[in-house]
Amino acid sequence: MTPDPTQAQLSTQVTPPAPVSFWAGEWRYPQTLTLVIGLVGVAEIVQAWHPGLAVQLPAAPWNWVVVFTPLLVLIVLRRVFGATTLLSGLGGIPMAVTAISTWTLVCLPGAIWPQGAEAPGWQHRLGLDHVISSLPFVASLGLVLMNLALAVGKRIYPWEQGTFPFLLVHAGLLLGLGSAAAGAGEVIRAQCVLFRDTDFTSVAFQSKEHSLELPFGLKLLDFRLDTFPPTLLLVRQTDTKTPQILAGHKFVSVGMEETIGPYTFRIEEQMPASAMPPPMATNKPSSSPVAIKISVWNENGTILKSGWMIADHRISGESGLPIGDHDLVLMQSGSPKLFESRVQIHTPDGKTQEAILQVNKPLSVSGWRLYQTGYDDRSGATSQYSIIEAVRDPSLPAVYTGLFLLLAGCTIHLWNVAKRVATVERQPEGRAEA
Amino acid sequence: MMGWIPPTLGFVLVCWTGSVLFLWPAGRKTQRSLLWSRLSSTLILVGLAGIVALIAGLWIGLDRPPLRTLGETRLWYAGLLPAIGLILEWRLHTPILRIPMLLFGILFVGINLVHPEALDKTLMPALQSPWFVPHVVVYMVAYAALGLSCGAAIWTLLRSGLARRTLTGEDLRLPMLLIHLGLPFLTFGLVFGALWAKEAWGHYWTWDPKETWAFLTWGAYLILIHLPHDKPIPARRQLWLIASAFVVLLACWFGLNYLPAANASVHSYTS
Repeated sequence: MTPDPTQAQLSTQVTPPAPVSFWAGEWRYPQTLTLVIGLVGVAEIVQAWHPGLAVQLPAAPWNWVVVFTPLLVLIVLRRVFGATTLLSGLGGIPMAVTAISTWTLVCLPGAIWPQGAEAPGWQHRLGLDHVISSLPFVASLGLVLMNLALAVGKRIYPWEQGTFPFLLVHAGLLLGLGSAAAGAGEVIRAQCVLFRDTDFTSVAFQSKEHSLELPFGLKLLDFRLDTFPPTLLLVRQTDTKTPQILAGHKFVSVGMEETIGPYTFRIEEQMPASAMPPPMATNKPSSSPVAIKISVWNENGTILKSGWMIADHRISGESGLPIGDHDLVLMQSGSPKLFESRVQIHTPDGKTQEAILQVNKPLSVSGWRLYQTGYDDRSGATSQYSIIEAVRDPSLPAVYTGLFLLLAGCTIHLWNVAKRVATVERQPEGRAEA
Repeated sequence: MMGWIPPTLGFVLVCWTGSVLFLWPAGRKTQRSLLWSRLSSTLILVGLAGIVALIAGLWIGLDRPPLRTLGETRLWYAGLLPAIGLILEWRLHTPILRIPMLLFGILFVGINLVHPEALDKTLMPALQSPWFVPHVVVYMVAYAALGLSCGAAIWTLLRSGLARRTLTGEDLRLPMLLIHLGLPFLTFGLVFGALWAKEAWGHYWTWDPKETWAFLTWGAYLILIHLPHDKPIPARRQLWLIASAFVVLLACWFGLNYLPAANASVHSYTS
């Protein structure tokens, strides 16, 4: 029997492979983009449907459980199950790039437009007027954390060359970001307004509607404001143009000479606290302004004016010295140099201590940190109150640990880059190879 | 004191412009090429010395670090560009950085000359912190390295386009090296700022518009640093991405001032 040639042909033909699922092969950018855009897209749809929706984690300690349990599980899964398609895909470079890109894009509206009540209408409608508590933000941050956890799980064992700085950077970022996310809901910030000549208060305000009781009492003993000396301004007003303002840079002091524009000014005398009241139109109440006697020369050395003037906030003719038809010299009040509050703190154990609160020098009291944040800037040195902010942030040690691990990893990375540059070998024709 | 700023800036401008001009005879491969090349390098160093003297003079004259205003940070940037560029040029023996660093330097010095600022000695209480200098200087180093990466990328794209040469992975080495140098400094700057903010205001991160742009800049370069670890993408595309990332950096540094969110930021430069 002659063999059927058709059958022979069929038997030698290659069987086409079965179609591979979109998700079954190695995950590249199509897969990661589909997943990330899909997830964040759904989050945005839900957010737009409920614009006021804000993600809130449960109270401690469950916030830490909610954030870190999945991350730890992912690290363990990656170690135990190795490079499965799913775990490799979720922890790979394409997912890292896609997740970081999406997270930055979600944050972009907050970088361009104001947030909150001042946000544009379309942001309110899309629920993006409070980006950092929105679902898309949480979803994209979650993807970044997931990717970091899987990256850590992949490299945590066995150790190879380069594992240590890699883990410092990625584990540090995972710990820092995760702790900041978990602890965001635990942070308490409240402002306390301390008035002069009043008794201890422990009431602080988180908002206009919400007050809380601090576990200690605060009393303002004294408030001090030091300002820089005044400086001079030359205002040139022509008919239709906006006034041109030229500022000097020298602090006003007796004997000082300064050239601003076409004029040279010399301070002949100075009264640190003049008895002259400021004009009623100003918003400076009872503080006695600095007064100076000033002489003005033009470029030819001709003296144009000599007289007294006082420091004032406003650009007006009331406290300035007119020169010619268009020019006016003003003395600009000195800006704040230092402001501090001397306070008494009464702690729950019955102890009372005195302390000074300054900007950049917070105080730690009973697990809280107190910050000097403001005062009545219209009254200046005679401010009758001082604004203190009390902050409690239990997640701070974990966040800082993560950040310092990250910095340690960056330091090693920089060192490696420097070594690469330092050990480059030059080619005979002058091109270097690193 | 301030009277000597414009002449010094003008002097630096002349030095660096001269340095650029001397590159033309230096590139003609004649017997005197080396002389012209060395003259070009010398002028860069002289100009750099002028910037250093200017910064030192301002620091002494203003009784504070000259890092408060946009113009003051531009001075540091104009100085750090050739400093980093020359070190890498000398070590790696590559001519790619010379033109970008000079053009950027001339641009920033020129801006300061055309738009002089009124400098004064005041420094608000929040800026009177040990973190002030490290935070800003580290950021300027990062900006300079990343600016040079952009310059190197654009210069490479231009030259390859003119020479009709195909770009290879070799062309990515220098821009990526600069990103590997700049991104850690950017990270340091970000973290220093967070630590400082915690000491000054009680919050290490508030998603202030400036902070958000700083995060976006960091994210952009983080993406760039990860890309080469995956399957290679065409060198031309990667160079364009490197150049584009610098736009995000500029938006963070200057551009925010022109955006609607600027008023909501506490990080506005005081001038």
